[in-house]
Amino acid sequence: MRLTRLMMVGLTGTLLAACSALQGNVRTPELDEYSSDRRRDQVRGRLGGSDGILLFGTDRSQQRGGADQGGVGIGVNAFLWRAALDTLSFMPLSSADPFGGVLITDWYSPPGNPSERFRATAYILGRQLRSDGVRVALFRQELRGNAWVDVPVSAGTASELEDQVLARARELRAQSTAAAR
Amino acid sequence: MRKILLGTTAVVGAALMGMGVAQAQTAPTVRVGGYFEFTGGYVDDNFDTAAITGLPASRSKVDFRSDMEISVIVRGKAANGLSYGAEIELQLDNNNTSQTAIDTDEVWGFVSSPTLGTLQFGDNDSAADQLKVAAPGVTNLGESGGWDEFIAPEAGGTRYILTTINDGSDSTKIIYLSPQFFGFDFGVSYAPNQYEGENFLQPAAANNAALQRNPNAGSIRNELSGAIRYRGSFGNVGVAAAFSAMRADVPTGSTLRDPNAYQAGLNLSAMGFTVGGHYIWGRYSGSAPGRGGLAAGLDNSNNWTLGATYRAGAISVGAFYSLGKRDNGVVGGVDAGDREQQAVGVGAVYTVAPGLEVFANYTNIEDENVRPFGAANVAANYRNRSIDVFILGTRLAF
Repeated sequence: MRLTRLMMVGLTGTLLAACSALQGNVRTPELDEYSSDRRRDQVRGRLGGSDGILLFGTDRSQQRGGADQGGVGIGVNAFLWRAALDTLSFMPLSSADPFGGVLITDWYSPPGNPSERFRATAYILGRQLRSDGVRVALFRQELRGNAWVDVPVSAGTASELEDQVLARARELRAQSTAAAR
Repeated sequence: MRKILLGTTAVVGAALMGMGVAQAQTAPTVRVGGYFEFTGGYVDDNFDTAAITGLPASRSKVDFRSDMEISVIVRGKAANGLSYGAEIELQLDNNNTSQTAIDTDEVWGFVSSPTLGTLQFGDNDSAADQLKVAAPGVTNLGESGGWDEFIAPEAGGTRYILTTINDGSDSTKIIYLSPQFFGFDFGVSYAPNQYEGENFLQPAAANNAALQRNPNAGSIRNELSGAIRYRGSFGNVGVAAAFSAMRADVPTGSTLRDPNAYQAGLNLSAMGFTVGGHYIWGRYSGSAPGRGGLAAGLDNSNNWTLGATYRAGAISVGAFYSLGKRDNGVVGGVDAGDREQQAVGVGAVYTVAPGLEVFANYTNIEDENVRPFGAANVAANYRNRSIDVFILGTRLAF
């Protein structure tokens, strides 16, 4: 019985390993991975940066490239900006400035604890996707009597939120790279 | 303190739960791209003399040419992950006296699945061509690069016999390109006949009887091509290798033998260098392997190229050596021998800005046993041709 269970575990493990090996090594090549005798394709790069002039539609590739290097319609790194929005979206938003990279939430009380409320401010500091590119400040108040009183936030919380933003930014970047394939 | 910790943990937890997942769907985009090229050439060709051309004097050595192509590129991605799109390419073609008529080059559509591969349909290059690996080159340098535009064809209408496996001449076809498995992928394509475009009538057909479906229409029919390719890296060395093949039937009533062509190619790249080569052989003649049957009694043809390129920043340099062989057969009872064309070239490309290149290259061509244009088909008229071509120009892509 134990042997059977062990074998099952082993088999499942092997299957999973095989699946993950296959997943990493099977993909459909992009059109630009095929041999082309077109004279246009022999030239390195494109004037204007993108492959052709956009007549219709939204330029996703430009957004993606731009997010790494600075962004076009947005003043700060687009991945960090989106990630900060996603991360803090559980709180009501009070102000968002994508050009200055400042995101301010309104007060938010966790469910089940109406005598406590939080407010966060996120600053996206630059155009590059880098780990020190985001800073989160967290404010906390408690209801004492009829008045909200400032109370300290534990030291690690803000940096934990920063880590969440960074992890989300990483995820978004991976998704957009995958979507571009 | 404990309360603070609990509360803040709840905030982080809420942050974790509240995230959405981005959509994979992409609205279609339509782009216009293209290129423009200007080239100046200096040609020294011993077939350009008055004695051979029949002209009152030898040909000029200098000429200029311009070229362009406009591409309309459509791309989209459905919510189920299927990519789709189309490409329409309009080119300058030399089929009228002004040399500036515009016609279509490739015109094709595709659907592509991340797991099932890509299906292309329309007037596009064959699977054997799209998956081929050929000797590396830089812009306008190669065995059939920029030099051949400046020289006169020989009596058979060809300028070069040095080439890669034929690209299928944009015959209307269907092409399947597989996903890549551990570096390997393959493709197959099929064209019922050699014709392209929208009309089922043959060009210049006087009546409806002359359909391209006629078994005797064109020079090849039922063209099947395929290739298998490997790409990977070992240590810091990139490896690309492929084997391509094609075959076709000659039309009914033709005395020629069914053509086939094969190409094997290998490229190795490391530290900015790429070296590689390809070898093509098969039952064909003329400049494009496999685009027409081979007459009985003629030997199979072959050609090969070795090339190397080096890229450092905005500058790329390259060099190649190429040799090709075709059987001239017996002319008027006399064996005219093999045509043997050899080309060697060196060149450089400077990228002024992304999409704007300046190129310069020199190619020497030695063509043995070739008959000048206009000369009668007798063995005595087959002679050796020696050509030097220097070109300088710019190509702009957007």
